[in-house]
Amino acid sequence: MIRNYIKIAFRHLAKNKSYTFINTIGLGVGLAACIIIGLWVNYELSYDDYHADSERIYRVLNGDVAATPPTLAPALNNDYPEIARNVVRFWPIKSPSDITYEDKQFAERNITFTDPDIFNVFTHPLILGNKETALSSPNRMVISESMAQKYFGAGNPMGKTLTMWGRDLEVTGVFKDVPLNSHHRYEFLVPIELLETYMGNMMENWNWAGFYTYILLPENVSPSQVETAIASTFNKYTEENFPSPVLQPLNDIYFESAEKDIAATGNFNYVLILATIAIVVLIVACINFMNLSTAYSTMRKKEVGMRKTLGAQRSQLIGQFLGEAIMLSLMGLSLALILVEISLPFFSNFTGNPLSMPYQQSWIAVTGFVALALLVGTLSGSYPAFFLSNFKPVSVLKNTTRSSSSGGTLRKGLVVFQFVISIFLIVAALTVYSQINFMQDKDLGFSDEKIIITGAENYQAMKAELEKMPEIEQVSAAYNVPGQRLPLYPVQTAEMAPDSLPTMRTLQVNPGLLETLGMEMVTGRSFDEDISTDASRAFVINQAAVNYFGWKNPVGKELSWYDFSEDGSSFEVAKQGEVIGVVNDFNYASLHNPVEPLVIHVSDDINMSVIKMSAGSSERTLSQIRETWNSVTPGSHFWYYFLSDDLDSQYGAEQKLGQVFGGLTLLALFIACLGLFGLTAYSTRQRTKEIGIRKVMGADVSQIIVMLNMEVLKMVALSLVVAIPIAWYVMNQWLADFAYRIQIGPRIFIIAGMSALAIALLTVSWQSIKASVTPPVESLRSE
Amino acid sequence: MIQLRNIDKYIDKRFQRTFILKGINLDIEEGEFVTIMGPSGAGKSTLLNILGFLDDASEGEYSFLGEPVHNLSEKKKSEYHKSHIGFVFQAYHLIDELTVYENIEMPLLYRKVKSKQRKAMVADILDRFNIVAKKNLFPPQLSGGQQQVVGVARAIIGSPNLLLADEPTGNLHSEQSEQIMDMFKKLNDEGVTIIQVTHSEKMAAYGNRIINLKDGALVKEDPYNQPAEN
Repeated sequence: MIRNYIKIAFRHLAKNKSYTFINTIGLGVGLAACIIIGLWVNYELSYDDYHADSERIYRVLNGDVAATPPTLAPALNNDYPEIARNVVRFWPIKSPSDITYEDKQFAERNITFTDPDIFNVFTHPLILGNKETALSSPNRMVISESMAQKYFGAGNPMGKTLTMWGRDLEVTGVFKDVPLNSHHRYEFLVPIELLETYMGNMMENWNWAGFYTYILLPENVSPSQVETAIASTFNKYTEENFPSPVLQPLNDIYFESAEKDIAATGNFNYVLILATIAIVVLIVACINFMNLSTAYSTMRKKEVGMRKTLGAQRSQLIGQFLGEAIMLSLMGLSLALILVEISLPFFSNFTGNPLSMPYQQSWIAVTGFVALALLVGTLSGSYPAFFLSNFKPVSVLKNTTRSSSSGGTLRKGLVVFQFVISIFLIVAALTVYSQINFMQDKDLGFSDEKIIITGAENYQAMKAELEKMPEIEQVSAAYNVPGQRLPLYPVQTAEMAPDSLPTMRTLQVNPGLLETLGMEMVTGRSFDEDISTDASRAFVINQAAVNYFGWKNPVGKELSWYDFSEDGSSFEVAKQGEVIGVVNDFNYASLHNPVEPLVIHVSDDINMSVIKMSAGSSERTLSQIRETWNSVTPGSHFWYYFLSDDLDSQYGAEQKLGQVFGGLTLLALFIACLGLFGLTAYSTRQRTKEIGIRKVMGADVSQIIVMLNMEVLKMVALSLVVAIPIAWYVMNQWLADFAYRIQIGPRIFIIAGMSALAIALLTVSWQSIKASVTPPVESLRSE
Repeated sequence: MIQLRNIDKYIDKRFQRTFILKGINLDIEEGEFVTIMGPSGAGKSTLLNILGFLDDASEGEYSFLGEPVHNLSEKKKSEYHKSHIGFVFQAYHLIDELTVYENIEMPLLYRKVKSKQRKAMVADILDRFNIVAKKNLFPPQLSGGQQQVVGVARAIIGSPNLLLADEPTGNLHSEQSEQIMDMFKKLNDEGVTIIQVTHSEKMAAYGNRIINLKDGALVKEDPYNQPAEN
């Protein structure tokens, strides 16, 4: 019997080639999209779980701040050895530092100071060296496998000397490269003991929240126990009021970024969104299958009737048709695996996640794919199976049932559903795209055109040289620049209660920076190099700060700005002066956030040169800047970036979301059109007789085409009515995440509607035209 | 009204040419009631289809009301369908999804007749064929005879000069057949030219001329004497 079923199934599939083709392609593309997105989601969710003890590793948060004082880890370790035996601190360097080996020198970014316990808490297998001693004295350094390759080639790195910050450090270990799915990655590990020689008693400062503290809990200790221990440690050593400490599970760090976080983080919402869409695309493909198989079922009525007359049970027929559905979905799966194989390298490259099919890793994943295909086959095959097996043999064999209309409403409903999804996706993709465009084009309140950011070593000499060049308009410097997270410092005004010390974002600049970046003063003046008091007692604040302080006439108001005291033990007034001007609310952070109050003051503590090139500048200008750098700061590595690129990169996540979204939208639309194509092919065939009669009665070709297309037009119109409110609501929810956002206007809906309509009409018109030009005698003869 | 000169119809298959019609010469005057007879496969339906512009002849000349049909455009043919020719089919060819009323109304829609006038015309025909009570039923709810009555009503609502009927009574029992043929006779008396295809001599007797076809050729043109063979 099974053989008979299989034979029939194959012949049916072979006979109805377009049916087989459409279903295989639809299911294949749907499954491929699902598998690829599934791999990506799996990867995003796998962050940090390669550590053997990842479930017991936690990061200490101070309220919602990720960074903690350097003193916390030693104090915990000392006072609670039973629960805080393994505590590790990270202090990643913030700007690139040069590392030298003989004649090789590179500016390295991924340098982290840490404790020797790192190898006991985290799983970083050492290829060379002993994990107990590798970081046990200050002049040591452990490097990653690829850095060993970069500096020493095939030679043995052990015992070699690398120079950093003017210190010779001995390589005492090589660890396997940190996997890409880590929230924090490092190439060089340097003992914190070395940092102590630079920082002095800052390392005993309980107010210096600059370190990331990780703790490996013993088996039977709960996070809340440790939180209590940390809270009492804070109480014991400092009078400052710290927010209550929270232990954040290691596996949550990637998706739950905190203030001052260590590295870029993922967006769990985007993972959810893309996973949902991938499933929706698959559902669209399943609907195709249901639609087409019920539509084509009329062809098999006779078979069903015959089988029933010969004694087939309904359950046997259901089994037969389900089997066919599963066979088709397995064909789809094979196609999907091929598609995945072809497209995965591009997708990995695009998302930056090294995705691969888990063939060799586990047979579980492979059986998972087959299970997915079986699920899809069963889901999409069950309705047609029940539908087909329900035919009454007598009426089928007497051919008294009306063929075309049975199940027609349901099929139309499903097509409408597919188009609702497609239109929704088009609207969503357009919204994401417009929002990204909006963010990139928005007037930020300053000019990022032709601005190059580079280091500020030997700044004055550099500035003097560069200003001679005609291609350079202005040179200035600052500690931070827009696009970086500006630090928070306490401030106070005369009106405030003495014990209230609100923190405020601070930008430390050289005079001229505001002009270099083209910022506009609202009132008062900007800093002037020739006014000596500007360096010692002048502040420029932004409008948000004016509003925060509630000032009517901000110019001339007293302001105090706090910094760490000399010994690092507390905050003290570092600069006292008055407000000389108010700058417009320029967007120094991403447009996700509204502009926060900002204090700008002049400082010699500078980190970055800000160079504005003229409109006529070129690649050559850049190499001139490089030459100037090399001549004034010999032996130091030149690095630079364009400010506009850096600012755009703030929206990288949205950009990728937008592109993946766009791709999935196209796929969904493609699959929906495939289905529509199959369905119109079928329904026009069903209607050949009607078309013939109408032509004989005098209908001309255009009238027939209009009649056939009208139906699709109605379905698309209905889909629009359903999809627009949903899309409008959902996309407004998404936009709510942005402080600066577009309004979803009618334009997006019009574009989405028109394109859905155009695509649908294109899909069916070929069929309609074909049907309408067929001579009626042919269609009527078929009776 | 109709002149056929050396009409051939053939199908080329591989290297073999199969003739369905060969060398047909035929004149039909206005007001005639012609019956085409012949065994199965003689080419009766093909001839009728050619006469009704549903099919093109492979060779030969066909003029309708003095105009050559073989080089008529698709659009012009559609015009003729609307204004001059009505069809009745053996299988009725009613649209199952439309009611009796809507089926009859359809040709008028394609002739862009105004709604009011359309209603009057359909009401007229419904009355004339005594099917007013059935106007809201769908074709599958009617008997074969009733369906064919609707088919005839639909064919003549546009008051065609030529009515082509392909075995109009083939699916009907004798009483229904007579009813339809009486209807044809009456239409013919009112001046409509009718060409019908039939197997039944009894039905042929309603006409005033019989054309015999055999293997694609006219064998005899004798309206009143029955063919010797068959």
